[in-house]
Amino acid sequence: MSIPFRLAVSNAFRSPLRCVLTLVATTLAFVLYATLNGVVSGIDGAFERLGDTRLRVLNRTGPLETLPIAYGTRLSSVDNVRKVTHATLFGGYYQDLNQPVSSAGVDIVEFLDVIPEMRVPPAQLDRVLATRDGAIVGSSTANRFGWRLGDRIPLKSAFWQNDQGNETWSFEVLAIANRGPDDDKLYADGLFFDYRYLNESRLVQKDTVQHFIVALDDPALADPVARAIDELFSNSPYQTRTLSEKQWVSSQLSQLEDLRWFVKVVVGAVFFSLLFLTGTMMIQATKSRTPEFGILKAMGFRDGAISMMILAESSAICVGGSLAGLAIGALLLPSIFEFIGSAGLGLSVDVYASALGLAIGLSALISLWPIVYLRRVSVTRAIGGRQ
Amino acid sequence: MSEILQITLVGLRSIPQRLGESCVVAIGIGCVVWVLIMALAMLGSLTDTLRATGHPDRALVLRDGAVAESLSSLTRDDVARLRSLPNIARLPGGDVAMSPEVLVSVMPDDVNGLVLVRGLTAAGFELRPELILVEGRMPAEGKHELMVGRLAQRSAPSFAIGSHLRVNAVDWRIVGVFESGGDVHESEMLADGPTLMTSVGRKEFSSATVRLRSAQDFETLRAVVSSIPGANLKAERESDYYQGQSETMSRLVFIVAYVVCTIMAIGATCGALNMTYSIVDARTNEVATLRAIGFGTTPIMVSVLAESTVLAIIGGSLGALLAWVVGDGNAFAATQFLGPGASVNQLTLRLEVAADHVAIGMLWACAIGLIGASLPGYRIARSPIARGLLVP
Repeated sequence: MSIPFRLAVSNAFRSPLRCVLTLVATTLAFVLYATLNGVVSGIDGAFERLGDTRLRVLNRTGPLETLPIAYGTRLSSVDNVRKVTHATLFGGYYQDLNQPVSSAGVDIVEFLDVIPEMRVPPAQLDRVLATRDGAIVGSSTANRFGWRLGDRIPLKSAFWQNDQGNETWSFEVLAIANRGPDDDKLYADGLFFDYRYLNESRLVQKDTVQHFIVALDDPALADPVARAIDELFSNSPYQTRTLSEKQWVSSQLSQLEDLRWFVKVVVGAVFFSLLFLTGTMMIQATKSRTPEFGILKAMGFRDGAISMMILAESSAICVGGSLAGLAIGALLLPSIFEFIGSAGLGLSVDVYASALGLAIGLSALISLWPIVYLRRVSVTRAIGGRQ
Repeated sequence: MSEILQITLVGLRSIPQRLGESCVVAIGIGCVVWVLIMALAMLGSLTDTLRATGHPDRALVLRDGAVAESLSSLTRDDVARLRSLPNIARLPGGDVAMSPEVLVSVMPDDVNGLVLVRGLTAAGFELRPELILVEGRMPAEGKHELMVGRLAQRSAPSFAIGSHLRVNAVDWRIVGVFESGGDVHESEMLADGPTLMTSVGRKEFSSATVRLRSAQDFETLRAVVSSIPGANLKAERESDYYQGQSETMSRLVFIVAYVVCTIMAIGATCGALNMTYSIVDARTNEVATLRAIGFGTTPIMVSVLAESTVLAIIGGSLGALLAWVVGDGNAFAATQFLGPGASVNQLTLRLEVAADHVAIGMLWACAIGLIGASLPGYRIARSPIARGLLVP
């Protein structure tokens, strides 16, 4: 190990308490960076992974209106449509409204055909198909609520009442989807059950569905097919609005922009104060050790080597703190995703890369003043400790 | 006492000599206070808006089990039965003071996002005296016309009088703007009920709002409504309904705001500790001298704490000012999310920085300043005098 490097390391720990305090502040800043940006980019990442090979056909009025199930046959006749199925949102929540479960009544066989990302073990699938109120539960939803195969669970619906006139529906968990580590995370979230169970038990809006899912032969044809579908129903009692899956989800999330804004405010504030803290820390450390740097200069160390020492010292704090912060963030994120009810979101590599870039930039920035100062100060003045 | 004051003044007057460290303490604390006040203002406007909605002498009749007004449904039979109930007041014209309304979460053709449109009739306006037309006129009966709430308009500048909103291939013209004391209804649009129902193909109402003869009549009404045979309805006091909505909607914001601000505060405390240590280190000689000539440890401790508190108050004030300049008046959206494709209660809210948010922010600021100064203050007050005097 070269002398400058050893000096830098021992200098960094010269005042252990203050070094630890700065490290903790840096670590916490990066914990916030990693978790807040992690949530935003997790949501963005989920958008990105939404397929471009499928369209969602909704009632033109709005997402809570319905369409007659018979429209499915007419949809299949549209050119370039490979397959059509339907889904009826259930608006499920477990015990209370703060525990929403994304849930829908579907034609299970068709649904799994159109959404190949969702994988169900064949033996379990057979049992679901043979049971009227059998449900396929995504693995992360099952983990979140501790549901196991064979459990009978009561799920309340925000949208539908059953023939007993209440909103609590009973399901038997008969299949767990996407349990494997490589399975799609998005569809590891949710509960899907037979549409007929819903349709036969509800008293209103019979034989209607909330939307249709249209699988395409060629993603490039998404726009023309969407136009053709809306054209087909333009003179029907219910008109349609065909959206890509991305548009479909993003139309619901008007507060995503607000979330982004909030994250920017927090991260901006945190790093603004961190810059001052670590910057002042480096200036103090350099000033108080001016005589030592004077001796190094007198011994023949070049400005370049001394600059490297300063950089090494500042990166020890910034990069060290950021690595610790990112590690803690990575540990926390899965629980945060679960807490906000979207365990299906993934971690994003971009956030980590940008955080490391930020750490390196920060250490370069706070080294600037010390480096310039030590280059300018003459050997004699430095050794004398006069500035 | 005068001892404490003197030493504190000495400390405060020498702040400019330690400008760097002092700035770090103030900026660190200022940033926490900024974010905290913004978060509190956001939370506050969410709960205030929901709580400001509804009057104790009005009740909302919903389908039993409905979690939100927009997810409830009432048949025409239900409405007819409600009309004959006692306890409901009369309007000046002699009609029953009841307004069956329809709520449609509309996805306009050219706008990305959802708009909540409430269909009502003249009774709906008469029941809500707080609803005031501020620009243009009311939607005419039988016409595709909309009246937009002040807050909804703020969220989308395209919702101006004279502009069109295409819903279900029909052009709806915006003809008026209303205010209703900054409550939930200001993020909605209002339309003529029957026209809206025909246009979107709805056969059922969502809810009915009634005015009671007196606020005390509510319990009787609730009992009567829930006992209508075969109807499966419930009555909720309007104010209770919105109180409940505010609880479910603000829970997540509340937790997130406090967790984020606590982490930030711990970071700022570390920064304050750090900088106060270097401030007291720089004053070692001065403090040792003071103690050598007879000043006690308490005045010195107090002066360190006072200096840090002053810095905290300066930083906190800057943070509060920033929150007020950057945040106050911003519109933001809140939704209750029930899984992909299913969200209800789209609200537009206006961020308002209130005095109590600033007070809580300043409390946090002082707490951070005091904690950050206590350990260094203790150290300097206790350190051996002789050694302190030797420090150059």
